[in-house]
Amino acid sequence: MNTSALVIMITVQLFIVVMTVYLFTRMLKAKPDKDITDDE
Amino acid sequence: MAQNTERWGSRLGLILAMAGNAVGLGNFLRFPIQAVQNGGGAFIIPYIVSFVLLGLPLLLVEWSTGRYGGSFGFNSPPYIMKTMNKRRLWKYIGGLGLFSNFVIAAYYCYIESWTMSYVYHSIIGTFRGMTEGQVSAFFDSYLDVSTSTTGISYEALIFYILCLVLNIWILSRGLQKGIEKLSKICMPLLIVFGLFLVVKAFTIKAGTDGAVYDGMVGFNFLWTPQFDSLKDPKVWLAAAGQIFFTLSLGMGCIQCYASYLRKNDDIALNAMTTGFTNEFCEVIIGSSIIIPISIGYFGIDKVVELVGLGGFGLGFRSMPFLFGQWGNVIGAIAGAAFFGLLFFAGITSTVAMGSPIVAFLKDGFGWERKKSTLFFGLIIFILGLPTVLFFQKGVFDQYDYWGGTVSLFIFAMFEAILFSWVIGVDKGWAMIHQGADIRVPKIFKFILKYITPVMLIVIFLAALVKPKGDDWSLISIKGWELDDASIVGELTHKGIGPNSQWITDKFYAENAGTVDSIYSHNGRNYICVSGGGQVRNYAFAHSDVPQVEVGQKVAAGDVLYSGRVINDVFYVDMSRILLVLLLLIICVMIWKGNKNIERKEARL
Repeated sequence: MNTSALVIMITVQLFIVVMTVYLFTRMLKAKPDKDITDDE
Repeated sequence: MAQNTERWGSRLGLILAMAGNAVGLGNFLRFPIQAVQNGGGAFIIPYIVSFVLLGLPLLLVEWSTGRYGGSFGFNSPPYIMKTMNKRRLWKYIGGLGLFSNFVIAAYYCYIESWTMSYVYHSIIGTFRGMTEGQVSAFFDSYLDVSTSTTGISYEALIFYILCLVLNIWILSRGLQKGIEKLSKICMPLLIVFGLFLVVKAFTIKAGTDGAVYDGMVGFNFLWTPQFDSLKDPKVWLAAAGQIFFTLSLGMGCIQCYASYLRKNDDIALNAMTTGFTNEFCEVIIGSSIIIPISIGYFGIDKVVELVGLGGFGLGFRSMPFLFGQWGNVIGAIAGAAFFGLLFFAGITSTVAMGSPIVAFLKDGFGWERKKSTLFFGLIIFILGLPTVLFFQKGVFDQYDYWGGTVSLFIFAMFEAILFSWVIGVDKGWAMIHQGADIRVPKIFKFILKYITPVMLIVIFLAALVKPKGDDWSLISIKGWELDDASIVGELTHKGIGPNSQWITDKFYAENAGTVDSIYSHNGRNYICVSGGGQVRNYAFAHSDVPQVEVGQKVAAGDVLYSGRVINDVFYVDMSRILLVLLLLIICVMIWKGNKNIERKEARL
């Protein structure tokens, strides 16, 4: 595989994987949804 | 105010449902084709730029407006828009969020039923031992409802009805027991199946299992950048379009799902997580299946040719043959995995399309969920039948164009303007951050106000008056020739050719060349004309009389056969009339529903 293709493929895919994992982790660690009534 | 009694069961369920809404057939069949046709690895640059300037901002807009409308007890796009601004116009703009879902669901369900059928056929070994030509012919006969030779009469129709029934059943079970449960099963399985196929693609070795090239040749082809392509506006438009469709923006589904959130539930982190989950499915998995596998067996030149047929061509005509090269067992597993993941991607999207409609009938008419889902199923069956019966006549393309493209862009354009300029970006920014578990970078406030709306307007105008052949160097103050596929070109039937009458007694050649053959195939007759690099096969009925002979030279506009001819333009125009009628009916229903809401609010 040529270098430029490999660099682009790895960079982009790594970026997406890292961001997805980061966001999911943050989501799972976030405070539980606040308990409010349905009436506003 | 209406009481909002449905809620998501869990945050993970919400994210998977939203991701399911976004992840669809396009992630696996459209994205890789777009990348190949628009610069390979270089395509990812305008793609990521569009994701940041268009995708993420619109996700934030749709999530926050949905949650806002939900706080007033409304879950459907027209009445969610009404809560944003009291001017009459906005609820009718919201009606586009119903129109596009009706129209897209009608044909999408049909395609989803193909994937369901192909899972079945993969498992029972239908494609075992078939040549590439036979697999392609199988697809043709499957689409031809009246002359199916697959052993099941009206197979396409049966699977379509089965698929509809499944969608209705899931929708009728509600948010938690239906949509959320479906997403929690389908999305993880989709990722597992996808990763299995990615590994298979990576490990293709030339000389093994009939492969001519290593799998890496395909990855290399897909990701090698052609930086020159970045100078072409067509590539930037293609990237923006792909981001738009892949995230299911402009459809009203995101607003609907988000409306079931509580007012202090986070949307910033949820929206971004959903966006990136979609990108994971598209860029990591979607790009790594059909192109690398098909190049491994066909080589680059042939795949470039096949790519011209679109994702359906590669997906349904070629992939079953390619999976068969891996042996009976692995081939069946791979086929079931591939079409299974397409099915999961499809069904999670179609239930999302049904949701705004079910919500609308609740909001405006107080209908309970079971009644609404049956109504939804009935309407998309009626709307979808023309795409099943007249698929080859252009009906599908009309639905896809007006409902699945133009409508989405108009809705997204207006909602971006509403959010950033009518309500104001300061108020909008506060809405996004209410209850947020993450701070959105401040640059997005500028992007929301100035970049996203302008980008949408530019894309819309570009689609409206696209120059011929997508050649943007033709643009000049003196005017330019429009492309047949521009919005104006489509409206005016530009490029329709000589067969411009609905019903007539003669059919004319649409390409110049020589009559290669007059033949029968699957009970249909064809005249084949080839010339100038084009090969066209014109179908004609048994009662029609050919007016040419084999070997005869014909020019475009020469009579090919005579008889009772119903041209494709008839089906195209009938589809358009049907779509306009649908839009008018939706507007009347919005008006009527609004009267009901106002009466109810006056009583409280």
